[in-house]
Formats: sequence, structure tokens, C-alpha cells
Amino acid sequence: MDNKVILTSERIEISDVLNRLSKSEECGAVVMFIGTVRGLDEGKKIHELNIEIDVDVALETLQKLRQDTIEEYGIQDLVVVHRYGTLMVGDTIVVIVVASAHRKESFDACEYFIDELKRIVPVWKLEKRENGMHWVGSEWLK
Amino acid sequence: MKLPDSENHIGGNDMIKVMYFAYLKDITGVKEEWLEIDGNLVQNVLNKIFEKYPKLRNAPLMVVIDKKIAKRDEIVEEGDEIRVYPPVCGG
Repeated sequence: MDNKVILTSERIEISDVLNRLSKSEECGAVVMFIGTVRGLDEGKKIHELNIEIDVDVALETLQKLRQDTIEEYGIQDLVVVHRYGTLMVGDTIVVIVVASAHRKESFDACEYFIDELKRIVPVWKLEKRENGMHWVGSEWLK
Repeated sequence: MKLPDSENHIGGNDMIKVMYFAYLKDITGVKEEWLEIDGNLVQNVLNKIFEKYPKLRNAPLMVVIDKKIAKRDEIVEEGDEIRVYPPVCGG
């Protein structure tokens, strides 16, 4: 399990994530989602992104979400790597890779996983924009 | 963390450790603190936080106890660490 859910401050290598995926002879589909740092958000230029994670809780939440997703969608395997720390525009934030017998399960499982990750995993983003610092999702403070 | 009908709960006013994350640290000025809680529910902890930091009163906060998301009507037990999150946005 440990090598299937990873939180890291290091640059993510896509080939390394793929190498962690287990596939049987019945596997005919691999789907990957890559989330990257955008250079423009709400019309404002972004110079840098700082990602904060509550690591202990995030790891446990992701491990449970991974297991639930595998069981719910009948996929063979799922690997997720999420970055934290300081990232530059274009850097990879998250990689999710899913293997299954047929493509539909992998597409559906991958979409479900990233949607849930965004909803429940304790991760926050501080954008360094051209007009100052901005915490993503903090609009309720206004 | 137990259901409200549990007999194993803190009573009256107790001190609870609360930890803040992301920009909540900027609003409260601390990473963690001990709060005296009137009552033994998650909602009582939030009420204390709202009272101390009115800016958070309408905040869509998430509360986590023992690494699990806690509902507002769950019991807080002595020794629990309460993690308070602003809306998350990973990925």
C-alpha cells in the first residue's frame, strides 16, 4: 500500500508513477490524470504556488479512498502521487493512474477519485499572483 | 470520538486542544491552542471558535478528529485533538 499513495515535496516523475502500477494479464486499459500549476487564474498571472498538506490525515484519507475506489469500480490498481511545498507554473501537482480490464472503469474511477480528493483530502493552495497572495477557495472570507 | 448517546464523554467545561490549518493560522494568529469548551459536542467547540474569532462565524469549516471527518453532533472526548480546516482544494 505504501508505494501506491505518496505525498512528496520532490518533483513528480510520471514514469515512476506508472512503474508503481500493478497490472494483470486481463488489464487492457490504463488511464492517467495529471494536475498541473496553471499560469493564469481568474485573469491574474500566477508566479508560484505553495501547497500545504496535513500529511498524516491526507495519507490515511487517500489510502481509504483508494481502497474504496478499487472496490466500487472493480479496477485492478490505482496509484496517486501528490506534491506539496513550492511549485512553479507548469509543475505537476498530482498524478493519478488507474488500471482495469476495460477503459470505462478506469475513466470513471479516475474521475471519482480526483473529485473526492478535491472534496475531502486536507490540501490547500496559496497562489503568488501578480497582485499579491491568494488562498484558493478562501472567497467565503470576503 | 463517540456517538452522542455514549456515557464516556467529557462533562461541563473542559480544555480541548484545537489545531488550525492553512490560512486559519493567519486569522487566529496561532497554529494550535487549548480552548475551554462549554458542552461536549463538536458544535460546542466551533461555537467557542466563532466566539473567539467572529470572522470565522460563517466559515464552511471542516472538523477532523482521530483522522476522520467529524459531524457537528459528535461527542468530543477528553484527549481528543481537534483539527480545524478551511475548505480543501487539492489536485
